[in-house]
Amino acid sequence: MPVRRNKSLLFCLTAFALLLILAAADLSCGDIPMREIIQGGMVRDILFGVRIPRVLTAMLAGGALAIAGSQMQAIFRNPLADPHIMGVSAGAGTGAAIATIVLAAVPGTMVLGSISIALAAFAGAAVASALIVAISSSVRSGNTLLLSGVMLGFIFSAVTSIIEYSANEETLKLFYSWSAGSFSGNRMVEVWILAGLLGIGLIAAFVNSKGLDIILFGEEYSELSGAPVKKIRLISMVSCCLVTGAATAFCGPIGFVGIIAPHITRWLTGTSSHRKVIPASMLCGAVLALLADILSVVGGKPLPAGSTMALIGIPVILFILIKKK
Amino acid sequence: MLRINDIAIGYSNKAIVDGISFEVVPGECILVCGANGSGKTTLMKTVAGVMKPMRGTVSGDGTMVLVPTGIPKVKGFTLREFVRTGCYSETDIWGRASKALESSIDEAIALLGIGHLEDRDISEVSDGEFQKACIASALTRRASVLLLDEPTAFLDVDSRTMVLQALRKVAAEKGIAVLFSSHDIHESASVCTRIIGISSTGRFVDSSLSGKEDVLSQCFASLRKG
Repeated sequence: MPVRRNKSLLFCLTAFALLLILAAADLSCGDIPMREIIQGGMVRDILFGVRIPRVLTAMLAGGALAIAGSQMQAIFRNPLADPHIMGVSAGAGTGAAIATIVLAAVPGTMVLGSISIALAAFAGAAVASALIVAISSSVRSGNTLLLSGVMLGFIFSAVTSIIEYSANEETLKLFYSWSAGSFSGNRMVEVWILAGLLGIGLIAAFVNSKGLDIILFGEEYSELSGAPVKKIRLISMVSCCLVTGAATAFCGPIGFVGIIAPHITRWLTGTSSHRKVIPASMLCGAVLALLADILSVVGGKPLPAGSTMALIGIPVILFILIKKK
Repeated sequence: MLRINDIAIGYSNKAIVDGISFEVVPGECILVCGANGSGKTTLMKTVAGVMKPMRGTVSGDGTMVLVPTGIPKVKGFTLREFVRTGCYSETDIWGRASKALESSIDEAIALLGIGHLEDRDISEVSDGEFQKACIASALTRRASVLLLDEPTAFLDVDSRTMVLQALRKVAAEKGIAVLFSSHDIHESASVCTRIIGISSTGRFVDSSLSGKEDVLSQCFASLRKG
């Protein structure tokens, strides 16, 4: 046990150090070098107005999706479960699309604020989560459940496409850039909302960690050991909805970080105990999201962070699948 | 200690077996046998209180603990951490146990002879050793009656013998009544103190009334039919 505790601590310290290095590197990325920003008096406008919010958004969203992934992998007892695969991100996307496109198009209605978009995304995520929980109660096979999640995601994406179809050109352009997945374009107000929701989701996940551990040994064993399985699932799903809804509302659908961060964490720390996996996955998710953000801007022309995350994530998932045969 | 009084077991108002009555005293090690689908698991779940009897009563002193079959060996937990999950409601919010509870975990692990494996990841222990850990996990709940559904299923010969001997030891040394279902009639019969079962005609049979040989022959018949 001491060996394992040391490994967990070492992992967290390394991830934190990496986080700081990547954050510093990400802050410096862009057309204008850092020295010019400081010397040219653009600290407030560019550094605090654009770059710091982008770096913080990436860290918070990556951490949020990793927390959601580690909880979903436990409650569905499936190593490939994450908000993106299980259709929760797509549900959040539909919620955000309704808020940004439909209501903005209604004459006389003001474009909704960030809180409303986050709430709509949360509602969309909640609908998707409720559906997936309902399906999971009648489906025993993990693979069938995973496929059901993928199908659910397709349905929500189709609904989102229908909503897009009725949008005007300007709103549609905004929505397309959102749906590609990006950590840029947020102000500090969105960062605070994201941080607040992540905080609530993290606390819920953390106090539920004992339940997440026992549920890995099966529903029957958990119930016979006195664990309130329904309550554990409910707390987890609320936590997942909060963090996924917030991350998706402000960054668009970012996949794969929710799958790979918990796997990397478990592999490097040697434990599946959620008391350690949840905070360590959050750090790992933040590191991965920052890495994806840096990769999305290093080539000169900014790329969608969702795509660079997929480029990092898919090889890792293939490795996991091949290793598990 | 445990009294089963004229119960009927079954699902959705359809009785599988009727008129089951027996008593269990501390230290007994009882084999529950019968063909697939005869109602062994339903009987175990009804006795454990997981299912309600359709008729009759189940009463007893102390705690009845059912150990389910097919618990997965999840990588990333030590054997001791797994045993600790058995006392879920007694650990704190982070899953930490009090000193008294840690002592009862020590005792359960020692009784089953798996102390040398307590820091080993459960994905690395053998199936038989893991089954022993499942029994240890149930013992931490201060069981007075331990019910195990197919504890030797999918185990190799050595592991099967190891688990059956562990069950006998738990009953003899802790004074706990052990009821376990199994298809391995011969091997299980050699370690148990009594056999109950469901015959091929769907009748409850008990070796304390008709003798072990008689129950075994009825169980063999039921197995041939199944």
